[in-house]
Amino acid sequence: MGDGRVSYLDLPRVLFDGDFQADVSTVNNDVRNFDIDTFDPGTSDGQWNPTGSGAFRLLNCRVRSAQDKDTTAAKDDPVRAAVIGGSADQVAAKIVDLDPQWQLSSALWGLRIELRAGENLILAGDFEPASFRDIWFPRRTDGERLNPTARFQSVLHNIRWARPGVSRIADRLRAATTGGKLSIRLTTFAYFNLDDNAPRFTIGSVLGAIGPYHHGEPHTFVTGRRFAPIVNDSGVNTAGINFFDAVTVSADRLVLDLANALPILDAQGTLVDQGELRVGVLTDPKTDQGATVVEGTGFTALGGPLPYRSPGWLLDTGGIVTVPLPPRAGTANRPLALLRANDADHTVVIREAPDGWLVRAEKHIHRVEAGETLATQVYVTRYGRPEPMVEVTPLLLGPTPGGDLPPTGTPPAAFTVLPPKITGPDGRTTLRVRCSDPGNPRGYLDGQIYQLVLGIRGVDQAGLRQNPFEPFTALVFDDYRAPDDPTWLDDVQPIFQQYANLYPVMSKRLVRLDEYDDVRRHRAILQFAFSREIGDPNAMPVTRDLSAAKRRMILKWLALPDLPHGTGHPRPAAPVAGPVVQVETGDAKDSKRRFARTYLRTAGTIEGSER
Amino acid sequence: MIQIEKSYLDAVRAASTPRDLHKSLQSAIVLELATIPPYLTAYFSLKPGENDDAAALVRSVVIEEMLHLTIAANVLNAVGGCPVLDSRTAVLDYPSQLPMGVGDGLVVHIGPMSIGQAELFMDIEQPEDPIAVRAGADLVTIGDFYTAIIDKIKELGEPAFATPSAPQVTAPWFPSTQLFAVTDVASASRALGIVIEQGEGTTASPEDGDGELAHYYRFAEIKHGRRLIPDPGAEEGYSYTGDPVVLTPSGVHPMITDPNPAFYPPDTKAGHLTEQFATTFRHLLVALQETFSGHPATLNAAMGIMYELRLLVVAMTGTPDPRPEHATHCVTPCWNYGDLD
Repeated sequence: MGDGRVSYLDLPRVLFDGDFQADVSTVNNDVRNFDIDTFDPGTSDGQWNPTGSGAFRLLNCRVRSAQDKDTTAAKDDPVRAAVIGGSADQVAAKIVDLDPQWQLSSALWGLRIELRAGENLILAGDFEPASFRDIWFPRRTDGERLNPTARFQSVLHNIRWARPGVSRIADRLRAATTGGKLSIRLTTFAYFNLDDNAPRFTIGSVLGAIGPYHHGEPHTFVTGRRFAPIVNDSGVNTAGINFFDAVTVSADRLVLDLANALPILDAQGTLVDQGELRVGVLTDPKTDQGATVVEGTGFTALGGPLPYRSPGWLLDTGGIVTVPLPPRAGTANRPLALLRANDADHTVVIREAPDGWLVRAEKHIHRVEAGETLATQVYVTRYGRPEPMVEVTPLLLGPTPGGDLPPTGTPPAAFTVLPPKITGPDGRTTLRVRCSDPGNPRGYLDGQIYQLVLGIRGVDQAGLRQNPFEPFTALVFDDYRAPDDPTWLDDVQPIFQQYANLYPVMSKRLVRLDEYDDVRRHRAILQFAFSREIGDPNAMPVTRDLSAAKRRMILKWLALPDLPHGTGHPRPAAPVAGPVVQVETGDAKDSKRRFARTYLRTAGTIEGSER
Repeated sequence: MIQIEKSYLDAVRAASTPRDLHKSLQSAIVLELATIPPYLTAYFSLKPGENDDAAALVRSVVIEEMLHLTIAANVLNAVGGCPVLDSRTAVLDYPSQLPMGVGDGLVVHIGPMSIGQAELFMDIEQPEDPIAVRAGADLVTIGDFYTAIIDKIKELGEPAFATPSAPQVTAPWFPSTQLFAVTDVASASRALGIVIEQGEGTTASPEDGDGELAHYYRFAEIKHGRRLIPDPGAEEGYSYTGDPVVLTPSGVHPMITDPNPAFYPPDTKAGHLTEQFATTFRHLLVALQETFSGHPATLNAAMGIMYELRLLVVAMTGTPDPRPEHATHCVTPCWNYGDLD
């Protein structure tokens, strides 16, 4: 019996690789730049890409291999010569953060993926917007920092298929998948942002995998066997290997995705040599990371040494490894592990969480209007199997201190978590949070950021070994009542000024959003962009951080024939007070790592324990 | 107004079926499209906040050329033809002569805004009257050409509109008084009349029917550095003695004239941007092709891509020319027919 939820790790599977461009904008990396009363245009000089457009592109991507159960099926299939492109009749996709106060889950919007071999379409589909998960800031064994890596998992929908007979792999994928979707994973690494005159500035490497989507699977992660490092109190991953997932297929094979697990040295995917690594199942479920064990008694090896040190291995395999599961391997209720070979024994490098627990929300990044209730599916599994009759306990992270920065998580009353029902036979339940008007607690910044982590009643929270960089995070917008007669000075300009400050390339070079006459001149394109739905790559604001009510107000004003100018009465200033948080300084180019460090230092603690 | 070879006029006059007009209308589409790269490059070369008057003039012409392209394609679809935009044959390899023998072999260059470039644009847009001298018997204006199409459509009558090949492209990017569905002789005549007036002005005035200057005079204002205003003392009744129209060289990005992808090797940032620009220009052509092939709403996407092109040029203007001897210049967009990926 397999897990049944194996997504892109199932066959047939198409692997591709190449480059990606993430032309992210960086003035918004510092939340203080959102304050239009104190904004200093000179501040952008210290940012590594102040003129970023937010564009995300797949570049020079080609299919590396295609695999099916019948090993000869993919031979000579045109998919093997396919190139991967975006949509030819659209602007580039966009990559943006949720908020300056949550930068560790950047999302892709408006990405279409097309595989073409010459004139033949193999398949094309829209990438359902998704945030990356499992971002990691690896170090080499000598302590030197390596580039961060992360993974986006999602589904393709609105799929166009090759004409039957053009590609056997495409036909097989079409037959194997369900719901008009395909499962897709993009692992990103070796992103370069050090020298803005270098050819690879804002470009990194990407590994793609496309496989069938099966009904009931989450779109954004794998409900399989999750390998979880021990993260110490300072947030440091002590395993030297990142979180990763594996699934059992057909009861006799284990498929592991190591693409985002091992430290990567360069754009070609050369991996840091960590010695001989093997997959195994631990005899004693209590054997933990760092323990030494002997093969046969301490663990049963699954397959031989992982060939990850062979040149080109990562690109050739997409980081996906299959090892055999011998009969009676005992994996059903004992932890899997990666083990490093020593002279006479092995060291457990990383293993599954105690008791094989996994609890994750399908959608963990949310934008919510005041008055709305957000809802998402939560999946609970143990050793890869759905776990029914479990009570999921959402644990709100307490407010972070404000001071120099706006506080987050305040007021708690605006974010009411409704206790989820116990999980059903499928191990699922629904998490709902009622969101009300936070009342502009951040002053110069709309709305509020709320975060929570998921627990399981009766299970020690630390024992779940969740990724500290993956809290469930919601941006709840302020309630906003649009005036009947919006004007430029009173209503529109204060919003546009902020965008003009933060996105100089869009808002000063394309349309000067802070100047009435230029806005008037470009009224048509602004009406177009502000009226797009959030998934459209043309949507403005690109950052998708404006409430629906404010967007409606802007559209209302843009539709007024004379674009009223208004009087410009002063807006009330919102005081922000509290203990001072020291903003971490350092290399601005390392902004994600810096954000992660500051977050770990200041993150709210879990509010109480279980109710 | 653009001057073209008389043979194109003759071909229109010789038409005996709507189908006989298809080639002529396609030529007009290619010609309108061909003016956009030089005009847009000039517009993109002007730094925002400086030279704003000149920028507004060039921008207004570009927008009208896009309207003219749309009208020509609408008419072609209305009479059963299929506009071709996503094709190597629809795109010039600059520097190049313009199609239809424009300006008796006039060579058009891509380059930054300058007095010289304004003069080149004036050469492209030579008006019929009152200032220009007719170059010769073999040259007619594009206004004459469009007038001939109107005449021919009137002659062919309503049956010419019996089998349109694709839906018309209308709102929302142009006012409904300028862009409307072409479905019959009357609407086709009205639409092509707009093209003639905007490009050429009326025979009595340099202004078109909306009180805006014809294209030639807008570029002439940049050349003369002054607005064209009524002047009873002047022979033609107008003179360039109005408010200043400033073109400050320091407010122009240091682009080169006649850029070529070969100047920007693929392993440089300049090369990446050049490749990206060609791909994005191709995306624009693909979107326009879809727009005029049954999916009018794709014009929205095309407009978005136009802004994306602009963003790429912003990146180019911040990137030095990789050739040491040209290091004081910035990368300049090459409008070649790019690969899709």
